[in-house]
Amino acid sequence: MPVTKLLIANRGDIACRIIRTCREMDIPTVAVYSDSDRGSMHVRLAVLSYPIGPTPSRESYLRVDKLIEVCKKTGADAIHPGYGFLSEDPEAVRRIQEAGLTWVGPSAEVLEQMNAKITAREIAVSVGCPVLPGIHETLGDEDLMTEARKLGFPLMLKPVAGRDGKGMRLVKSPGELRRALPRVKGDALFSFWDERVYLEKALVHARHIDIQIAGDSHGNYVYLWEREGSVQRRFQQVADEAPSVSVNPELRKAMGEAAVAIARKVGYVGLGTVEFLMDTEGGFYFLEMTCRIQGGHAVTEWITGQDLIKWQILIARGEKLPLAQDQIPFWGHAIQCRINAEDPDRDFAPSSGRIMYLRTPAGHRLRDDNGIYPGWDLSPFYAPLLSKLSTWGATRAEALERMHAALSEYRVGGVRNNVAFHKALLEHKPFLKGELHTGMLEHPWWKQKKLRPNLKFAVAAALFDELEMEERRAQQPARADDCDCGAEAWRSFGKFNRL
Amino acid sequence: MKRTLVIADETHELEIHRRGGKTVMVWDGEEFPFDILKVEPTSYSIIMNNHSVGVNIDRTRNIDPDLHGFRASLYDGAYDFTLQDPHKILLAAAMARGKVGACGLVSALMPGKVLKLLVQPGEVVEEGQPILILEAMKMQNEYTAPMAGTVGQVHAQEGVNVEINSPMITLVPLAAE
Repeated sequence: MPVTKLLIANRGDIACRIIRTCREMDIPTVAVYSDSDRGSMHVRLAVLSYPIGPTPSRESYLRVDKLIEVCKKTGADAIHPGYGFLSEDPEAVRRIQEAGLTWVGPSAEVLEQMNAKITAREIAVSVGCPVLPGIHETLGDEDLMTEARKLGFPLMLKPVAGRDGKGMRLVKSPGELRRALPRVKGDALFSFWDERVYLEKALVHARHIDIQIAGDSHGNYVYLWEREGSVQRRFQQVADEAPSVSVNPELRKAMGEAAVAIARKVGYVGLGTVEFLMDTEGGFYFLEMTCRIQGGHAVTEWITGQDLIKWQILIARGEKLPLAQDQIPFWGHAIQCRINAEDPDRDFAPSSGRIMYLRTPAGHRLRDDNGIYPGWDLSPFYAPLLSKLSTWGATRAEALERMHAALSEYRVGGVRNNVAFHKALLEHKPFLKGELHTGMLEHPWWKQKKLRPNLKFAVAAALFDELEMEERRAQQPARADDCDCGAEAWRSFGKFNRL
Repeated sequence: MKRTLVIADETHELEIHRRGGKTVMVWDGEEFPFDILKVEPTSYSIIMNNHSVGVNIDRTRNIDPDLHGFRASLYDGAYDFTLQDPHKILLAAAMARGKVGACGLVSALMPGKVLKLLVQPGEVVEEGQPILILEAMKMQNEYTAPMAGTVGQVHAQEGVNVEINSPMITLVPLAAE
């Protein structure tokens, strides 16, 4: 199937990431954008750019009809969904393929099987992959309570149609389960149009291990080792690393082969991730399969030297996988921190606003995948991801030291962000020792650090800013509105840009 | 120029002036000369005692123009504080009750709309007494007095939206009176 001109049905960091690979492969790119994304970085980087509707994604990035229309207009013959948005929507895949376009991702049938979490689990069981005990029949609340008591707490209550950790809830007692049921069902109905839920035994101090797999249309499968994403808040990863300190070569092979067996069973063509939970004894259990490129892919690219977006495009074209299993490199260690516009001191509440200042680190063996620039307005309508910063080192310690140094250089002004949180994580003893588990952010240990060694510098700058403002006011008493001088500077910058 | 620095539970009296090409900060009576250069719209390079530190300044938007809220980002993290004009604080406190003290600032924990103000400037409140209702995330959140004292300034207005961290009510603690 041809991929000669690629439409990217996404925005932000991942759209920029895909465009960059397309440039290397000499594939012209088509960006699409919603009303508030006219100035977005992906629009500036792409060869062609088309507006597709208002800011809410249901009216723009999720409008399959508009994407197809833009493909027809521009002669694009393929669509890359990135992550989120349409990436795991089988109905969208059908319509796009019926329009004669290439879909860079697995088939609609595969997505349907993997989206239904209970079906996915049955597939894992059928190839001999361990799963966590659970209750998967759709039962009335009272029957579910009875069965839950038999299974024993703690349990994880999950929506059947859920993905990306959305709507999940940990319940530690029958009372908590009873209270959580209506909420989780309500959230599931709202987010996925399906209120069915299921229960799975919850592991305390579990690790989250992702196995990166790839399959081509010729029946070849490989696994590109693991990523550990145990550092999570609201069941979403904030830091990823590869390899995992808890996975030894035997375990790596066992998990990799289990992941490939699952992919082979469904005839998976494309790049995907099989997610596992791992207990403290090294037992691993199938969780779900993510049928798209993942946010943590950079760490796998670091340790294998591969460009996974390129792999996706080659697979979509019907080519064979670039490497066989025994040819896949395994070099050193990589870590990635997701720099989000959110406030770690207020339960990671998302933030939005104008990026008033941005300085990204530079240096040896580090990479910053971002989609922002100073002066850019961060919309509250989309995910608050600013960038993904990753570093590589010959050893884990070296990768971590490099990341710590890079974070010292990373400065975002104008929106709340988690740079300081990541720095605290890189100084957190259990993290440095590799003692990771999915509950490690439950207690806000990063708030403890309040030494303020450089307060005088911080205050001196603010005080000087006040002095300059006072002096300006004294010179121009008529102007009362120049209190936000930084914002003013960027506002005129925007005007200048539009001339 | 004089300012009062408030950071967490500390306050410091500051002064800044230019003297022969140098800028001098006076911190609780002690002098700190420094060299400062504006390198980008909101970013400063400071050399103090030969230590070079880059500081990015964000002014946090406040409803009350006399509370100058700052977030300064440095290599070691972010510092949140306010710089207040001591003359204006004095004036405000005098209007409220007549005495100055450390301020108990009640600010918005989430962006939302002020539904109801339950107290007025000058009113004496008990610790834990409801003082304001903020509608945020489709819920009504009751804010209570963190300590017994007198209501100083009321920065919030009923029916008006506030951003996260916006000061809503200043309390003058009982102990300070």
